[in-house]
Amino acid sequence: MNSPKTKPIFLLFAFCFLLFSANVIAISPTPSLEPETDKIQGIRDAVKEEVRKNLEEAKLGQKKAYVGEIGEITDTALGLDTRIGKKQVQVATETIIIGENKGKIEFEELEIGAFVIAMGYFDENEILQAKRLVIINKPKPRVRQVAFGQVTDISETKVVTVENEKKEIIYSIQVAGTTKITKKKEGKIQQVEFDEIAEGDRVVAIGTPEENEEKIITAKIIHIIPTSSPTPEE
Amino acid sequence: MKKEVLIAIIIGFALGLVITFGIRTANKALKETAPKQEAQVEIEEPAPTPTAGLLLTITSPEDNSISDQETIEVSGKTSTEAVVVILYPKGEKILEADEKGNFSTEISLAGGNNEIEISAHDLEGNDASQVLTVIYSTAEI
Repeated sequence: MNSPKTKPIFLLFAFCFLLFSANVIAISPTPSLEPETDKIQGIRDAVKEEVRKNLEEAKLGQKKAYVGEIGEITDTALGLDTRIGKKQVQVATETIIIGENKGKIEFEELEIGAFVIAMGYFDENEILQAKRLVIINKPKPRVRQVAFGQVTDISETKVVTVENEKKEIIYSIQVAGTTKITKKKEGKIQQVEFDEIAEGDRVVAIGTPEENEEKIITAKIIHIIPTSSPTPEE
Repeated sequence: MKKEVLIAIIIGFALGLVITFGIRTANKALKETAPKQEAQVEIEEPAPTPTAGLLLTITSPEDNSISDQETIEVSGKTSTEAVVVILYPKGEKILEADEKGNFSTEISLAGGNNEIEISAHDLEGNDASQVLTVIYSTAEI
């Protein structure tokens, strides 16, 4: 085995063995990483669980309210049609119910179609446990409108034409004597005069649309956003 | 000599192959269990924030909340220097978000139901809006 003849054979044998083994060792996973990943995952799960518990506890202690139309009345609950969908409200014997005349009324006096504010606390199933129910008038639909776009024309009669290219809408904004016009100057929003509005400026206007014509707005507030910010020298 | 070399090569080759096959099989078996863990992690990752359109996040007030104070803070985050419009029963406000997109102002509430509409508009003409309900009540609940 130690003879000079066998040496090259032994070396060749070792070379062939290492050639294949080295390749395999390179692709072998690091065994120590697996328990580390499990550990991290375990910590993550524990933190998530703790956050979830805290959030639930916080929710349970928070006062919440729903506003909506009574769509269903059962022995102990109301089904409300709210802005965010149908919501169930649990009513207990100690729940205070205030009628339209501001006096206390009984649960049996509630009617389908009435508008109520239900105030109380969420239970663990996120069902509102009402402590106070107040009957209100049906909320009026919103009349104010927001118009946003670029000024394309300013008439002598103080009508500003504003185009919103993205929405492909052209607004006619009537500026009245009471219209408040604002612009950011020296880092503060300040009231300015009508002649500060220039073609090419972007404006946001809040106003009331004309009857049956929501593109014609009598502005209450117009805020001007100049196309380019003034340089400090200006 | 030539015969011995050939035998050594064959033995070395065969041994190398056997070890390669053995370790590869073990690796395969390990990998088959690994994807299950990865899939679990993927499911638990939070959903990415949508990039299309204008971002508008309201941090205060919470929807369907009750306030026993007449004045509340309206704050949130939108695009850098976007114009924020707040419509509420007692009035309306226009403000500009700062260079980080943050905005904050105070509004006064009407007694009872207050529907607050908050909208943001950027220079590209994008907009986003949210409607919140806040009840102003001093009654004990």
